[in-house]
Amino acid sequence: MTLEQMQALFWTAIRWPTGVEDFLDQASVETRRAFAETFAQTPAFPRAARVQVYAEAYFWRLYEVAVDQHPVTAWLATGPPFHDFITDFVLASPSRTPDIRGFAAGLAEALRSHALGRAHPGLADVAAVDWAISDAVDRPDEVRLSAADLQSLPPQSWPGARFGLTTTASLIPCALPYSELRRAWAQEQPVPALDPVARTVVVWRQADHDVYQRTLGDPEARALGCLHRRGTFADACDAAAGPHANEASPADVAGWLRRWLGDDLVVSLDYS
Amino acid sequence: MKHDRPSLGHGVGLRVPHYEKALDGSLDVDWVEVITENFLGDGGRPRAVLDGARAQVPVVLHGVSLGIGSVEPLDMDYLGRVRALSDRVEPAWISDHLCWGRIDGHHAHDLLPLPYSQEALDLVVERVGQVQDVLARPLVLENVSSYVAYAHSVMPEWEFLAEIASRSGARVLLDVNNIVVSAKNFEFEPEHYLRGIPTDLVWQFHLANHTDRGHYKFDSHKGAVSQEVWALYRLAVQRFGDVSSLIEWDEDVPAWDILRGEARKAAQIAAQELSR
Repeated sequence: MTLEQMQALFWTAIRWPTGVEDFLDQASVETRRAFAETFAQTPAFPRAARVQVYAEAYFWRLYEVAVDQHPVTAWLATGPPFHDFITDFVLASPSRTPDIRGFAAGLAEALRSHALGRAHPGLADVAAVDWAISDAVDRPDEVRLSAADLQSLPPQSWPGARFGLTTTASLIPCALPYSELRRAWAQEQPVPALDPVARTVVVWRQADHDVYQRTLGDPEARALGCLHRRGTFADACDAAAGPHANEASPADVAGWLRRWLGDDLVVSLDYS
Repeated sequence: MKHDRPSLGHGVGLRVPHYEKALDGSLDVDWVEVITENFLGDGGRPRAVLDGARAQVPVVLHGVSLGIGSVEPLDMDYLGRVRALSDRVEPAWISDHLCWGRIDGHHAHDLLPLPYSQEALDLVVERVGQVQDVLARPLVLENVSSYVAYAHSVMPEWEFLAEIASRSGARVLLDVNNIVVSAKNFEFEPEHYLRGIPTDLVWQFHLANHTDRGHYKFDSHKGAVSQEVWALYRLAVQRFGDVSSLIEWDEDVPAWDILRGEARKAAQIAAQELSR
């Protein structure tokens, strides 16, 4: 048996979702023979039990990473269904990144099409916010703009000005009140009553390296989303005003802009 | 005995609960080791932590995902990122594990054992050469704890490790705890392992604890270093001399003072053995 064949056999055995003994029970005669010829054993420690040590380590290591990176999701969905979901996810989406934290990048999308996600509206949205928080941690550092940087912006250039957001920023539709849920999770409170309503959560990292999230009102979400898509300040005012042009004024947008600047969300200003 | 290996003293593995020590300038150990893959990002707190640590003490990059014994080609993108990190941080050295862990583009995120066969030996030697070409420095390879042995093995682990290091120019990170774990799991005398490694190859020791699961030991890195590991450490210092030593504690990471106390204990034991 070649080294390549041994590694393939090892990999198949430790990924079997119900354990190595079950893998062998369901394997062909040739595979069982290859397993016996490949792995040594002792009377007190049979070969299947030895390989099972790796199988358990493989699953639980990835499970813990998924939970660490999706703490609110795991808290909301705790129990056997969540365990089953992670089992399915680990099987369907083995890690492709050297950094184990990257393993769970696709968890939110997987949850959308999984029975657990379908049974809990908004849970996949919560997972997407959890992931965005984790993903923002080590994104590139950037110099942030401050309110003082706007003093050079001539009044007539404001409508066409484009405010670039930090690459750590994500705007995520979330049907559940993420900020409230995260607070309850952090304070080890019971899960609050859930009210699925369309919302937007912004996630970003400040210059102090801490990652923040905030649930936005609809007009602010539209305005910030416009800037995120590289729209102009005038575009953002139009988006905030809404279809009937009455939900927010340019002064409101200017007020939000001050907050975004104070929150280290803005990193560039382009105007002509 | 005189060797060209650097002597960093006695350090600890720097883990998340103690990142503040790197940021506030209060790392009061001789040196630290960090998990390479946790610092491959482009910015944020990890980068600040690593820069802060490096400004205070020597740093070693300790990888877990190289997969030097995997059959599929090396991940050159990953290696390039490690090289870039190395150029920025200038670590004392770069280490990873003598194992495999990557297959079909997937990472097991585990340190899977190799058969101690000629095929595996030739493969690893060739790949260590490739890695050293990219990193432009010797690779330091660690012995892993293992639970499975292969019927195809034709030599003991220590001979396999020593042969790879001798042929490739790699150095050895001797994990004393891993020797204790594997000695139990494969019923050999840990002293045989020490005697099987030429003294000039060893650049570092790891010290950690394990969990006794009855019929086998598991490499948990949980709890203070066990008496069994300290005892073997004494023998290792007697054989290999003044070797940079590091405490690994990854589960239920304790308060800094406890962790630092373990490093100090290692220093005291080494001083006792070196003064004999």
